[in-house]
Amino acid sequence: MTGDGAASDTVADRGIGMLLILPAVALLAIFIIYPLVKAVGYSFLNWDGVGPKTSAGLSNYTALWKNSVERSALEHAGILIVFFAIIPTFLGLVAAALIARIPRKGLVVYRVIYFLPQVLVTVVVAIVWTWLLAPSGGGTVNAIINLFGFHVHTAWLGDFSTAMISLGLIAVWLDFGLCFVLFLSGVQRISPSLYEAARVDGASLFDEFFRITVPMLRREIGVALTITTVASLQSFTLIYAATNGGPGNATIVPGLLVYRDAFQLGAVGSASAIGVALALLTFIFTVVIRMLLEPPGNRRRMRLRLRPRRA
Amino acid sequence: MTTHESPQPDIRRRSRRWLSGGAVAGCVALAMAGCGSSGGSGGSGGSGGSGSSGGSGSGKSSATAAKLSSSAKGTLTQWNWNTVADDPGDHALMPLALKTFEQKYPGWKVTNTEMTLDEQNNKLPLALSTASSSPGVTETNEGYQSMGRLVTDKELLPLTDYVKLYGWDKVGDLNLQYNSFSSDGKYLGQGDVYGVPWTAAPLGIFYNKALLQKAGGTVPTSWASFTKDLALVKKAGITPMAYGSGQPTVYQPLHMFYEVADAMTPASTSINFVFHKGAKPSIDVPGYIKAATTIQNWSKQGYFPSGYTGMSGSQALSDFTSGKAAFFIEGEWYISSVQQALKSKAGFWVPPSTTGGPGEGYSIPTRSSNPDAAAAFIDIGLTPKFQEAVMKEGEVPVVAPSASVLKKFPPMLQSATTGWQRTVQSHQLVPYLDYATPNYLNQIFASVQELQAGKLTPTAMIQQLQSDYTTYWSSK
Repeated sequence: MTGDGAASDTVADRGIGMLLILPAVALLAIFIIYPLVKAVGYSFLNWDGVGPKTSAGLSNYTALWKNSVERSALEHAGILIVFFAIIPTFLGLVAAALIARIPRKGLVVYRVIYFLPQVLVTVVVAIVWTWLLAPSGGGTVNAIINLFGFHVHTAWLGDFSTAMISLGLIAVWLDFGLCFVLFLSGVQRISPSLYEAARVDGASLFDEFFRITVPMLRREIGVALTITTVASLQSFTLIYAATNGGPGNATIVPGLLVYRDAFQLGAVGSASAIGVALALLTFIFTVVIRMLLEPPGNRRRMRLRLRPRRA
Repeated sequence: MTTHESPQPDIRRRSRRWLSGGAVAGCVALAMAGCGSSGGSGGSGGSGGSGSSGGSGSGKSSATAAKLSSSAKGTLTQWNWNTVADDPGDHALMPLALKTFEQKYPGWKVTNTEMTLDEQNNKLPLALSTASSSPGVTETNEGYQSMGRLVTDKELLPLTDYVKLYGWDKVGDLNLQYNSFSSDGKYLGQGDVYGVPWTAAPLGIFYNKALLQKAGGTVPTSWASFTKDLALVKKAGITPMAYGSGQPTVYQPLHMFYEVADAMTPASTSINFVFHKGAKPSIDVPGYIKAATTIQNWSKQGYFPSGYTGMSGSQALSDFTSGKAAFFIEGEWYISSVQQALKSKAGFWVPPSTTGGPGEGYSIPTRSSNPDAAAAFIDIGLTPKFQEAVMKEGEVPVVAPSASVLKKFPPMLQSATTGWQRTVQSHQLVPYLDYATPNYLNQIFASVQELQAGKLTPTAMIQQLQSDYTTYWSSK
């Protein structure tokens, strides 16, 4: 920092700084850190929340891959990342990039419309989608498909082969708006002259997208991916209200297992273990996203710092 | 919990909403755990005896269980979850219960605190832990997670002495086994009685007489005639069964499975399985496999409505009440809805062996201020006048009415009532299979769906369920 650094960085300033962040840190400590620490403790127990505690060792954690239902849940969480995070991010990027090339009038209306799913209560979203995806009936997705001469009567959320994908597509519908709005605001930062210059240099659509739009939106992509990935790993309400993990265990997700373990089965230890594992996974994913989106220059600089300088 | 869509309160769903009630109870329990309280630890009064297994139970209820004298005075605090929304029938009965009690014991007043089942599941474990917060008598929820947990925490009084005093084991078909637990709360169906029900709820098969006539079938009187009817109805182009296994629904697939299993397996096998009696309780028996095979065949033969995997339970009910399907396998609590829609066109058949259970019972907290008054209140509900009022609200009584009283009520309610008596007295009433372990509801539901979709063979399904059961019990 330039300027008289010594004068502006006094102990008093630091002290005031600490005081200012104290409320936030206190809230974080009480509602996030403390429960997390407690949960880690519980995860090594067999406990119903009220009775005696017995040690479970690592069994709650090994169950994550030994127990077929828990394994399925983790697989499904992975599948949902694609539908909650990757597809909406990609679609949002494409949509924002297309908008970047045309006059931006009336954009507010579209932003509102596409963002609306995010504003709706998730339970409502889930229930209305169960109506839309019903096997038959007026106004259902099947009815619309059948207008084109088909005879589809699939129970989208009830059939083993279509339930997961259907949930995934609901997730895309949910998250597209968020990504679109994020990238739109980012894209509006990019000066159109950049595109004109590129076009003059003979850049194709692909080039414009991958060489200008995406790099310039790095930060927004990071935010979008992080938010949506966290949402997908934690997803509970949508699945609970739409399929409750069914049919069979075809759409079971870790969030649902935590709920069942903790509140239906009195298996606090198991629930805590799944929760802690989810937290770890979420952390790993956010770190990976961060690293992937680090500008290449920084990465080179980071690598250089690790190697000793050769004289 | 899933949205409450059926027009008539689903007693089964209410009495099983420990699934969601346990949620809140769990939250509060976790919060309290931080404060160091370890749940009710051996309260005053009822000591629970030595928790005998099997049979008559030897626990002492209290120092002296006595009938309430009519000259006594006091106030009895009473809790229930018969809110208008949750259970309009029971809600309408409460004023009669209170009035009758206060008339019989003029010195006493009864307070009526009603709340939703969720609220009550939340409050009970903590409220019952201190004398000042404990109600005098309270409705409780059968099963491991609700009543079982209260028993483990020594918060409920064993009622053996009162059962003897008032003759509750003789006055009717209360099937008190369902509300019994070993004193550590570990085993359901044995040990002392902890709850006394006022109503009953057997499962059965609703049928549409008009549709059966059209198909050339007859009113089902045996499983064989029922099976024949299914085929005839299907041939006549009518949907045989009103059924849905999509969300929101949790119970109908299980109830159907139970009824078919009950027709093919001795009741004692299932009873011993649920109550974990005998050396190796097991459902891996030919009867259950035959039942699973039957259901899979029904799916292949198209006895279930098309698109049933995407239909909810309430859609199934409305299919039946609008005359689109001939049969509806579910519990008696739908009688009122069916009666309203189809009137004399519909009937309710209780097979010789059926699954079912009593309605929620009243229990006496260990720290009740006056157990004798509580017992007297419970007994009010079992008087003939009150039991007749139960029927007027469209519910099945636990005390058999006289023939003349029975005749006053719609045929479906009569069938349910006599069916309940018959199956209880002949020991052919099977407890809900999902009572066997805490996670069984989810596991059975998932298996039935997989079976119907052809993803699981009948043998594999039953073996998987059996292994889930033994895995749980071997870890206890």
